[in-house]
Amino acid sequence: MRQTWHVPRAQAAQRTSSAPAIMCAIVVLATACLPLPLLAQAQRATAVPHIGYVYPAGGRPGTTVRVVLGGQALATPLQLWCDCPEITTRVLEHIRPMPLQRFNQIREQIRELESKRRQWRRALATGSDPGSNSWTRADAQQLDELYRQLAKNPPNREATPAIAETVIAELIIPATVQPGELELRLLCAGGLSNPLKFVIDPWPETTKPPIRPAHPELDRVLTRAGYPPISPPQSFETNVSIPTTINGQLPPGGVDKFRFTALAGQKLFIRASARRLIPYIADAVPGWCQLTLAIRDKSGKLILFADDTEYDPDPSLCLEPARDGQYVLEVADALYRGREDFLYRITLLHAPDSNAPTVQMAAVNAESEAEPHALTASQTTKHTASAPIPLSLPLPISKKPSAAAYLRTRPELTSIPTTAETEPNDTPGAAQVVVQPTLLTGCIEHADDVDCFAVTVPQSGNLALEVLARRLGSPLDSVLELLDASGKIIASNDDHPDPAAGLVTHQADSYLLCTNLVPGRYLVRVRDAQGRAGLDHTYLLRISEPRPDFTVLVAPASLTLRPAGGASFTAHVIRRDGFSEEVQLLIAEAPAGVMLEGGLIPAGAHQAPVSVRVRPGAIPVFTPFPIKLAARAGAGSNQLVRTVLPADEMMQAFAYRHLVPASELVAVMVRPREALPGITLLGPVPVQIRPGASATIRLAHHGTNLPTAIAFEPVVPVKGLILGTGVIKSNILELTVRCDAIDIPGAVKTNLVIRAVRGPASGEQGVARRAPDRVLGVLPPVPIEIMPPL
Amino acid sequence: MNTHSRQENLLGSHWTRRGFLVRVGFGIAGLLALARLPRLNAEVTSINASRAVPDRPKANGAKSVIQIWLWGGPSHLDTFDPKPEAGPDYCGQFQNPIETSVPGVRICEALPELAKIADKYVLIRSLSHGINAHETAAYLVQTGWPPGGREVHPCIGAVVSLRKGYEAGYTGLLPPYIVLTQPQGRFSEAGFLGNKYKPFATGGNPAQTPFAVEGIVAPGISTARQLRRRQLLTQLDVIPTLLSNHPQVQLAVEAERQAYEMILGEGAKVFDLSTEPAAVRDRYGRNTFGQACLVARRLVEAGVPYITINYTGWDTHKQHFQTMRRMLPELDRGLATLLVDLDQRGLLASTVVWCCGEFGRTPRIQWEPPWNGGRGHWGHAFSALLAGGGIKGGQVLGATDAKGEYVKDRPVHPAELLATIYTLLGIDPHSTLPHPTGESVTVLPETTPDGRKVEPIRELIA
Repeated sequence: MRQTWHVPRAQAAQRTSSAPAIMCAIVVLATACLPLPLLAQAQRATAVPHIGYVYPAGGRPGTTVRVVLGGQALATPLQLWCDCPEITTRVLEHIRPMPLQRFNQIREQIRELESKRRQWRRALATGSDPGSNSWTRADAQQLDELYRQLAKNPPNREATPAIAETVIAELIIPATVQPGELELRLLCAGGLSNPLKFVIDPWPETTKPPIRPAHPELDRVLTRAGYPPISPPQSFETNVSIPTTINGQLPPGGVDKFRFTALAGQKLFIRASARRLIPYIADAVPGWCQLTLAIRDKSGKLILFADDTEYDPDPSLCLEPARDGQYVLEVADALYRGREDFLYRITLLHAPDSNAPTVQMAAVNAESEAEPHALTASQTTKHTASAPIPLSLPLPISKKPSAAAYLRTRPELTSIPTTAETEPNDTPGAAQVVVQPTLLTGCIEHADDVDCFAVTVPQSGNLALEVLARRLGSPLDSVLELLDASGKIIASNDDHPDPAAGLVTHQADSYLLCTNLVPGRYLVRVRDAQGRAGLDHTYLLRISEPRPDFTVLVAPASLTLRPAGGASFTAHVIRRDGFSEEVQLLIAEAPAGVMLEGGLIPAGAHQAPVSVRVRPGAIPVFTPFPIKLAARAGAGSNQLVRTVLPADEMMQAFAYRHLVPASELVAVMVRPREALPGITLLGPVPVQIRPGASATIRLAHHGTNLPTAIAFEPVVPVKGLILGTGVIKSNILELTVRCDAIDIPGAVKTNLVIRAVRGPASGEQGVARRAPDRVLGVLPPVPIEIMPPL
Repeated sequence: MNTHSRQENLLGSHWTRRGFLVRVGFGIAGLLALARLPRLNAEVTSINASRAVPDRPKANGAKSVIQIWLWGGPSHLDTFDPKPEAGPDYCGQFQNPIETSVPGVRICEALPELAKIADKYVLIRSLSHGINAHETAAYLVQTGWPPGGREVHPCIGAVVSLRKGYEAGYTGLLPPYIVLTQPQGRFSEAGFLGNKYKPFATGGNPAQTPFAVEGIVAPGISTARQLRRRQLLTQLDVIPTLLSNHPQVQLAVEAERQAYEMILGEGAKVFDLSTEPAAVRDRYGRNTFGQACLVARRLVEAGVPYITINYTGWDTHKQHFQTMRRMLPELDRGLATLLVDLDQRGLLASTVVWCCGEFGRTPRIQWEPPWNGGRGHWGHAFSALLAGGGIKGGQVLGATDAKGEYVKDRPVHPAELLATIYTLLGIDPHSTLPHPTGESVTVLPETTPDGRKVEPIRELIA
């Protein structure tokens, strides 16, 4: 529920004109580094930018790469922000689809000029006087310019609005930059975009020209006039030399072909990245570019094909040619879908290649089927915040980038001693005796393999069992069972959800939390649910007493802060082993003046909104800065402090939402056209309320430029709480909140984070605009205590 | 399924329905006829029908059902459960719901015709199942059973086809379960009952002339030409003559006769909308949905027990409000005219009309890219319209919270909605269905996931 009211116009005008001069001075000083026209535009735009792709999604050290970023609300791009400070970036151009009105004007002008030229030609042919239809050089230039404008940014109904705008930028990558994954964000007038991956590889790059959405109608016009069509060709073919990294974008139905020469006796590794670059595409099923690789010989005969690598949707191949000759690598989407964000990078390497350190690692593991993973594993550890895996993991898992990424969320595992599985242990009688706590490294090696471990349940009667396999990149689909001394299964689990594994679409790991067991000897059994096995079916098995712990992820990973209004984000708490305490978020590292508000996640809650605000004048506008957060729970010797991990909530295939890790939480201050004045919360706090009753939230606003139409709404609706009517009395803002709880079982403490948005103007019918365009800022969080019913 | 295998064995391993059609050269027309073939031979079709518990009719006023299936899941906020007080991020362009003929009941402003006749229908605003995927939600809403179990349950149309079709004395020429125009998909059809109870999907477009019903109306082929074809086929096909005593051949000959009767006789006439006055066709709306409503009325008049209008296009992730502005007037006009027309012809009292999708849509508008003002899937709360056949109109059942996100009062599970329709038809929702392996499976589950006994909604039955 929201309340909107309109401030009398005269009053509003007065307020606007008397904005505090000191604030203006701060802004002028802080933005002095921006060109004035850009600054003026920046202050007009308010929509937060969103980028859907960066193409090419990588580059080579020692080169300058020109990239295309496709997205929405990219007006007035100011900076391409990279998390590697050695890389210099430059924004070159912003292209947005032409307004229809302008398109019609151009079309009309072209029609007139073409008509004039026809008449002139006809007159020339017949020898008659062309009169006013003389065709001049200026006419020709004008016509050429009109066609050029048309080809550059035509309106296109076939285009996807979310990636219809493009920004051209340049990255200068020094030779000293190490290979690895980086993140790029686009800073525009409206704020800071979401991050997208940019991969540094050491090999020469082969980049297919960027594609644009098909526009057959315009193609006909352009080709008739002798201009090249803008629609991408269905197939693309070129020669490449090995080693190389290939960049491409797939149009609908597109098949890209890359010819290369290989010799008998050589070994070629081909590793594709598509889902790795853009993990989820919201409006595609399945929710990513499902790349396929095929290798054909010169005669066209299919030699090799791959559409994945085990459970990784990105395919890889290892080619050992039988004879010298030319081969063709074919690249397509498995469903022949295509769009600008269906992009890929493919690395073709000879092994061994002593010139590249990553290839050395590939050579070491050349016998392994999972070979290509070695390449990516080494790449991912360079720039991302992922530390080297501090655990002794089985080989196939230790090479997986997903293992390193996931284990960042589980630092508590490093304190558990590891034990290796010892075969044979397939039967209860042969069970391997282990002492808890332990982190077992095991493997389901053959189809009938069942791993049994004998463990003693302590006096507490509590035991936590957890398999980590799929989350670390292992294909194992585990089933976990606990048996008593008589061999009776007393608990079992197949799959247990884990929101921290945002990149795993089939979380198949098992987990059991057993309480009130009779102390004594038990049997823990692990097997594969599908009866599959192999040397790569490795796992970690945690056997311990419950170790209540938590992981906190915050989303989004880019924050656009408004003066006084700040910004809000959502903290997601993943509770483990029965952890139910409240969690307090803290700033671990940020520029002076950055304040976290309401960082309390109530006991038992899985998510809570949090706001961040900057002291006026502390941070210059349009200057991105990272924020590091920590989360604390408990007290004294039981206190737990964990690093908070930034993430972006991404949607897959229209329905599923995932928290995808990002390298950093980055914020930027903007200067919007409309902003909130400073607002503080007045007492009494916490606001206490009972089901069926109402309470009043009192706030004071310390400015005079309140927007003329303003509304308030919760950032994340709290079930059972309805924000009701609001009243302005002088500088006091009173909002009523009603508790309509129908299923709140007892006392609940939470923070109500409310944002102010520009409401519909008086007389406006409906709203057809994006909500982010209307956000004015976030109010200070309101501690709410829902009391039990009387 | 066992049913199907048995049939194949009896017909000969190569004589599947489709294969048989090809052999007799019937083309598409024969398909429809052969859909009825099993009823001609009790042995062929017998599964464990003897195990089925006979129905105990309770309220037996309804004879037909028209299901208007809004495939994709329409927004409940933008149709039958408006929340103007929730603000623009929930209402978007529809912030001014209109009063209906029932005091205090408001619906979306884009449904003015339905607003005028609110006394004829019930709005259920508290449907909920919590599933956000199309197939599984559609399965649940149409079968009443949660997805993922061991059985594939039949949808309500298939159950009605079983209990009100040929084996229950239905003698109509047209199949007892007809879908206009495209089938709803594999998750919502006959289930373990077998292919015999699958719907006949008409194909074609009723807004075009002629309405080219697959297997009945062959575009571009006149009746005379069709008769000449039949004559030629008879001359070429010597099997009926050579094997005239074979029971399966006799069946095929009879099926052929009936198929021709349908495509050249009364069957085709039902689908011939040119016999309707232009004014009537106009009232329904000259679009696919409007004309499908008109065909549905004609099918009810022909005695068909279950008709589904599969009305697609409600999966509005993007361009939501543009789509709603286009489709709501179609729905409004077609559905309101159908209810009024049935009522004026005295058919509404014996025809249940129900209209809903597999779920609702996210109450909060998704303004962010790539949706840009779309709505996602929302199974926590959605609405249905129910009329006729003994339904007590002019009321609203249940309520959602202030933003339409969750059910607040009188939760209704789809199984309870289906139980109501079954009861109106005189079908016991807890009777046992014939099962190919003899399992005891009831029409609907005993309880809802939250423990309520699945019973007809008494408040709705007149």
